[in-house]
Amino acid sequence: MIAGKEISLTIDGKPCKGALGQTILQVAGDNGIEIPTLCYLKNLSPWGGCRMCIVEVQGSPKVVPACSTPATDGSTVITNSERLQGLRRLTLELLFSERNHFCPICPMNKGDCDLQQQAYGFGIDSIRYPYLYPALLVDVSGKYFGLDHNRCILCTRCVRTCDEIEGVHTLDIGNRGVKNQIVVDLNVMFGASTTCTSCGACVAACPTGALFDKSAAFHGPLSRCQQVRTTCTECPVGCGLVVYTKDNRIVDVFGDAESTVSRGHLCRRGRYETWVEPRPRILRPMVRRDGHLVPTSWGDAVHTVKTLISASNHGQNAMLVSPRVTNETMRTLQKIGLRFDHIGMFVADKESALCTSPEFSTDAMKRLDDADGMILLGAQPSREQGVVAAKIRVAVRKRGVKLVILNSRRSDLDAYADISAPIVTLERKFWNRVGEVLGNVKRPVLIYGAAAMTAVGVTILDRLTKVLTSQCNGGEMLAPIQLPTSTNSLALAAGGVEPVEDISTWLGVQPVNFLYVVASDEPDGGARLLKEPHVRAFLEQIDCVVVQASYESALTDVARVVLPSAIWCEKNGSVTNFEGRALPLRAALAPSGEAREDNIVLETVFA
Amino acid sequence: MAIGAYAMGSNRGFIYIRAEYGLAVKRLHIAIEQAYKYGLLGKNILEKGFDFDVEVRIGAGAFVCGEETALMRSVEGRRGQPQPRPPFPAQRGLWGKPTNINNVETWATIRPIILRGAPWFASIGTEKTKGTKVFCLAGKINNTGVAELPFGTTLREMIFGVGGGIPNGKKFKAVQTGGPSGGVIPEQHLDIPVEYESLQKLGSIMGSGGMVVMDEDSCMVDVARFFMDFCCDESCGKCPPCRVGTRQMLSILERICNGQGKPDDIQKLEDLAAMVKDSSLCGLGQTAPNPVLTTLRYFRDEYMAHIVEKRCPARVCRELLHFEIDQVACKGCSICARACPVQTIHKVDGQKKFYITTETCIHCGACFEACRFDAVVKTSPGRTRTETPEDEVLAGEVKS
Amino acid sequence: MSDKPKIKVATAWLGGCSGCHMSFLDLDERLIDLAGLVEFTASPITDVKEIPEVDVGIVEGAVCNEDNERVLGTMRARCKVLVALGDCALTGNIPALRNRQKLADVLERGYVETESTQAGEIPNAPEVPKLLGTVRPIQEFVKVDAHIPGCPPDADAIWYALTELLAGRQPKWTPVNMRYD
Repeated sequence: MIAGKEISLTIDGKPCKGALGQTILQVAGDNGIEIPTLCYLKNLSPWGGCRMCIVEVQGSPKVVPACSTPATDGSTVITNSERLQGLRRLTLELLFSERNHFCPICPMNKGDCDLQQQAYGFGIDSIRYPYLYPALLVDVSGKYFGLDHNRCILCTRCVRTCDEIEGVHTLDIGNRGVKNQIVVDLNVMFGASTTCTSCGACVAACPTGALFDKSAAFHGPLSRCQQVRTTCTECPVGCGLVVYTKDNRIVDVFGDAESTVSRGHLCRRGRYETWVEPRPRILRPMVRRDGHLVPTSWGDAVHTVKTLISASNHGQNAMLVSPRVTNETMRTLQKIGLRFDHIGMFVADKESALCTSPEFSTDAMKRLDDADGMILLGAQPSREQGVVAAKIRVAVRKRGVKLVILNSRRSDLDAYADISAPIVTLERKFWNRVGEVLGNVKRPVLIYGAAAMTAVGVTILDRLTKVLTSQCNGGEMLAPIQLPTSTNSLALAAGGVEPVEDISTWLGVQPVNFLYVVASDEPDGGARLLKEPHVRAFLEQIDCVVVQASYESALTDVARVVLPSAIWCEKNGSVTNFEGRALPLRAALAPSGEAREDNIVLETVFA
Repeated sequence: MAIGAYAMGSNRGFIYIRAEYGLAVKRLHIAIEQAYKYGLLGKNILEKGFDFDVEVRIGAGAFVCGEETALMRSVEGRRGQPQPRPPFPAQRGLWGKPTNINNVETWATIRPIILRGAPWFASIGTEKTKGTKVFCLAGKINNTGVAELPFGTTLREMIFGVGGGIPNGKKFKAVQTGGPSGGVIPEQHLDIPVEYESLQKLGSIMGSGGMVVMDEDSCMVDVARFFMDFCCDESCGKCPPCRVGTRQMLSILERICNGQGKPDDIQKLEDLAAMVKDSSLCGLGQTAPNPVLTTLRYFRDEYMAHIVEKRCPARVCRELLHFEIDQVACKGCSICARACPVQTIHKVDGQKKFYITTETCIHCGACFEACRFDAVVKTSPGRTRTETPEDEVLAGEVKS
Repeated sequence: MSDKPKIKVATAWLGGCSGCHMSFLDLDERLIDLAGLVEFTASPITDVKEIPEVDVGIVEGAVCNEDNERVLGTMRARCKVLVALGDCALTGNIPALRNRQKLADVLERGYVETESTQAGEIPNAPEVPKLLGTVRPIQEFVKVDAHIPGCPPDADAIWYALTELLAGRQPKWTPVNMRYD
């Protein structure tokens, strides 16, 4: 934000400095004066509804909400007079009387609740007005979180978050007055919503127990959990996570507001899928004996692998890794790489083309915030990189950013686009329309994904780049943003690991008799390697397959030896996101069972 | 509007009107169509190179959309909820553009002012409030309807002069000004000249210019309950003081009307009314307590009668009523027994008279309405005996 | 030991789980100090049923039935200072969860439909107090002079409130000494 002219005002008798354009609440906060709030949430538009942050401004008979009232030069503000405290206290009492705010039976109990904290602050020990005891719906139809209307104070933090951060506007307020309720879509159950992306941002924004994570509910207060800040490894965006754990178990996962990449926002995959979805873990090393995988000790398993390697013929062994492995694992690979004739990483369809010319897009997330025009070519952020999709939606809906989508598959983003078309040879008419839509765009961002890597796609990319470059300020457009789907693929590719889409074509030329697969914590355990029958047949022919993975899968069925890998929340090290930032991974949990981190396993095996 | 727009340099105007006012919508559409036809709206008005288009926007039936920020949101097609000001409409209004917003009534004064001049307009009215106002007389008054009167006319002139007084020879009790969230003004203040400041001093508002006249048959607690019910229903719900405060005031008023009022209810009402007035976000909440505050100010004895004596002096609050049949006046026509929805009126044995079994009577008043000989007597005798030791303790506290 | 007449205390247990009384017993050795200052009359702890005229009446639980209402009325009439002990007395809390349902449905569910019940019927004996339509906190019935929040309140909170009241002061709750759970 551009700092405005400096202003001075007096708050509670204290001389305070602020910038023109700041609200009273911001100036007070910057000067160490705390004003109670409920509906206010940083990064959201002010609502001015809860009436907790009301203050007196000299010269105005009415109280004003500090969250939405601009601070003015020379004004005198009082934030804690007896009158204000009385009004706030009564507001809290009314909120408590309105719905069923009974703390002992609330998932947010014990210090996670803003309403409770405020009431403690005011020493509220009884409510003078009759409890209304409404019998409202407790909507637990959603997969990951529930909405208990009985605990809602209608602060609309969820509504604004859904609208202004995730950009889908699934939530809003229905009905009038005391009958007000949060509504999902056109008043459907959460589970039936067609627009909700299950990003869980609303839950994080809720000041009470109205919106709660089902998996975290009644597992004790977050304030008494250990907190570990780490990085999401579900996609190459690399959002910051705060993992709350207790007794070596995850209680909840929230976005890290301090993350420069995501500023606290997450998508369904990072927020829930990694820890809520049941996935069968591999907990012990296993060796195949008499056709069956038998649990064994690490020592035995490592010995078996070593024996198998030395037995394999030179020129006939290969290693395949998941692009989810850490930079540290990559460095270990580089050290041991000489022992393998082939070393590759398995990437998604057409993604090898992206990896052959890996480009880090510096400050891509910030450029998305500043852009006035966006072109999405062959990428599916609403499926793969949810936080990027959120930025696109918000840009279109809140800033009127022009959006052109060229994709092989439809997605919800098409509804926000000025133009959406398939990736085919495009006619002059189409280019004219693109010209019309993007005519006045000065800060365009071109985002392309793997699906753009066809002959036609590349032509379109070139042409778009030319069109846009000509109209940018200074005649130079910043490089297009490369948006892969695999977490650390760009760093691995830059580190010399060969991208592989189909093992049989990769290795088919020169058959191997030893294959070491580091599937790491691929959610499917690496099973996608086998989705083509001919690949499966090819793998079954290999004498010896060693699989190092976190989850059981079809891949372990063809393995001679299985070694248990640590999962995302058990890993230390770093990954490099699509912007080229090295982001830290910090283990929130000790590895389950006998699992070990990938690089430790590799160092043990190849020591 | 076109004149105003020309002065301000605006090219788009909107008239917001509730969907319920079908006739007004229809007439407006005709008027706008005609104005376009005569070249008074549209492109190049009167060949002055000035364009101005007017659109009618239909409201979805919410009282709160009279509040300017809520109105603008509604015009934009969004949920009609007020927003804190600043930003004021003139800074950021419709779709974020500077906006001037005025009542149709205000616009209507532009033409006469231009034709006759500002001094002429300023000569009408009082020192502080100039001009005229359209008042809407309603309630227990002979001439109901709309009247344009100069500011400064007294309430007495309006009610007994223009309004023709109270029907059926009943006694005047109070007048509520300014719509549902206006205050109630009693007889002793009828001679004040109507202007913004004087009404405010009495705890009421000018508001819409509505004047609801009440006669001796109106129970002021019931009146407060009725208007609170309206405001509670019409509260948009954005801020807790208005959303829950009106609901809680309504709960208390309801229990007072039902004879379940508690001695500290008046204090609770006053605290809450003051808080809702003080901390609500918009005009609706800030004025919603007016009926309660003014009835408490001018008719406190009626509240006390309800709470302490369990008696409704105006004989309105159903739970506090008692119906009896005057055995002398009863002609035995049986119309009351037939009107009774719970069959609690029976014939006196061996006589052509009827009586009401009090225990099963639901105080609906159907017999009272039905009787053609005024034989059904409606009273509110009150309860002399308090029911629990607790009641006694509390009643004692209040009396002392 | 002082010769000052002991302050008379009665406690009552309305619709609640008795957890607040249990928490009261958690005063442990402080009970001995308390016994030097006050005399316990009617209380679930002493098992004295008839409430005499007392200085302090302490009530746990919400008002769920006619008997609760009667006991509360008697307590209010016979004590000088009435203390609401615990969240049920303050808010209705867990007993008030039944306010979501109609009373008839609650009884039907409790006495007839429960899986373990065979040929159950809703009690209708005159000695069984009738349930009220809704469960309500005690301050909706009577004037309450002091409140001790908590479910149950800590022994420390109870001790604090009682010592303040015995010293003639109103307990002041702050984020440090109060909680609702």
